[in-house]
Amino acid sequence: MDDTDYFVIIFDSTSLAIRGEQVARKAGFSVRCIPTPRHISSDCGIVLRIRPDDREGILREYGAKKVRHNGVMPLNPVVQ
Amino acid sequence: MPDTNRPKIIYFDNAATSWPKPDCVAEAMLDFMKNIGANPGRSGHRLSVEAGRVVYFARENIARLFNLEDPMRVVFGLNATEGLNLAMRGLLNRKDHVITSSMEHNSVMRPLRDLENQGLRVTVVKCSSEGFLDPDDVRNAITSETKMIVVNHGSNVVGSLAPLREIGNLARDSNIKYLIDSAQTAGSIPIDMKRDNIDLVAFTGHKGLMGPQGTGGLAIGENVDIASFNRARSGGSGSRSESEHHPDFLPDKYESGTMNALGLAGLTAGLGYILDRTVDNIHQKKMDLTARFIDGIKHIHGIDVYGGKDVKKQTSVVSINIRDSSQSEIGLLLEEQFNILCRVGLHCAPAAHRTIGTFPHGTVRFGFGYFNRAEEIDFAVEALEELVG
Repeated sequence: MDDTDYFVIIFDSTSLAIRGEQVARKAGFSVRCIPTPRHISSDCGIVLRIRPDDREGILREYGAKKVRHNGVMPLNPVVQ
Repeated sequence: MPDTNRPKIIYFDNAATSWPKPDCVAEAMLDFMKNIGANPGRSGHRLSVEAGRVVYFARENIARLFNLEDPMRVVFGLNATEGLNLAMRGLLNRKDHVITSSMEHNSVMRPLRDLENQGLRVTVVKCSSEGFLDPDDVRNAITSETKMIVVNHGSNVVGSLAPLREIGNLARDSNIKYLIDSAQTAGSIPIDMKRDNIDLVAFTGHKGLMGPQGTGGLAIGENVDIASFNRARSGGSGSRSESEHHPDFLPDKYESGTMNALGLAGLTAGLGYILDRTVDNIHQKKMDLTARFIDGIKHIHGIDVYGGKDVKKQTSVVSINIRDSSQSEIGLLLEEQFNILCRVGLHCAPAAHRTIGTFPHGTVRFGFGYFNRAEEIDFAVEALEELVG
């Protein structure tokens, strides 16, 4: 099983999530749209799963391309 | 003319809808139906996401075509009429003043007349008898109350082109919203929202963009404030599902209900076909055909050709009349004797026909497309010579 500590980027809508996916992919990042996990509060049915090392690069790309998002969270629930 | 050389069908009604479409359009639609088929943006599974990508690629291609940076500012609907209605009804208030031209299609005129009944003030700037709009006349019509200028980029009756950039500059200088109806020009003539200071472009997918019918919409420029732009309807959007209030962000604010993803799959393919070949090359081919037709018929005694008859100032639409013959009679003879399909009458543009002097009977309109051939043009010229003869 893949034990990467993925992060997810959260969006307002699936249209924005898919834009986020396409902008990230065009910039060379390996990302995937996945159904929004239950523990993540989101207005949208999908989130974008990213590798932790790609986080800064993707957000920089989003800044340049004006891709609106609602934040980044760990994919798995953080155990207190 | 001998029957043996007659082609099966010569389709000269591309101003109504382009046909045939590139093969890739039907193939993309078949692929969507057979292999994707899910509801875009409504579920998290892979087919729904794939359908969402199909819609996104259509947005991206439209944004690229009109030089709009953010694809989220492309809103899809049924056609250009829906885009025009959204823009005019969403941005105009009672007592605002609007300027339009006397060459408009009813897709502009009828919503404006509806709004006029509710208190909107409308100035229709008279165009020349060849269908051309003088930017000075637009400038003279501007008042402190003017909120929008709406013009069709290319006339669907005679093909006359509006001075896009001059009017765009006027609108920007006066802080007036500028809406263009690109039904006859998108995909055929370059439209650059940034360069030409265009705030809103209403487009249809099934004409120059080579997509299927039932696709179109509105491209909304960066200068349009969404907060004061009312939506036309509300409903399910696949976003903010916990709320009974419609979302206020783009594109969801202006899109509700399931999208025509099947149609947009075809539109994306059509747009790809155009962008691969470039709008300039497509335009050149259509205008070569148009010039060949105009040159072929303009000296035929008994035929009146309307418009500027200058391919540098028009689209690939030519309107004619044959003296002492009705339009419907000519249309029927062209179809029955020569298999030539064109459109006769008023073309949903009574104001335009009043302007060029052909109201109420209209004209016989030829709309040439990318897939027409020079031999078809020559055949049509011979057919008209025979009809007049």
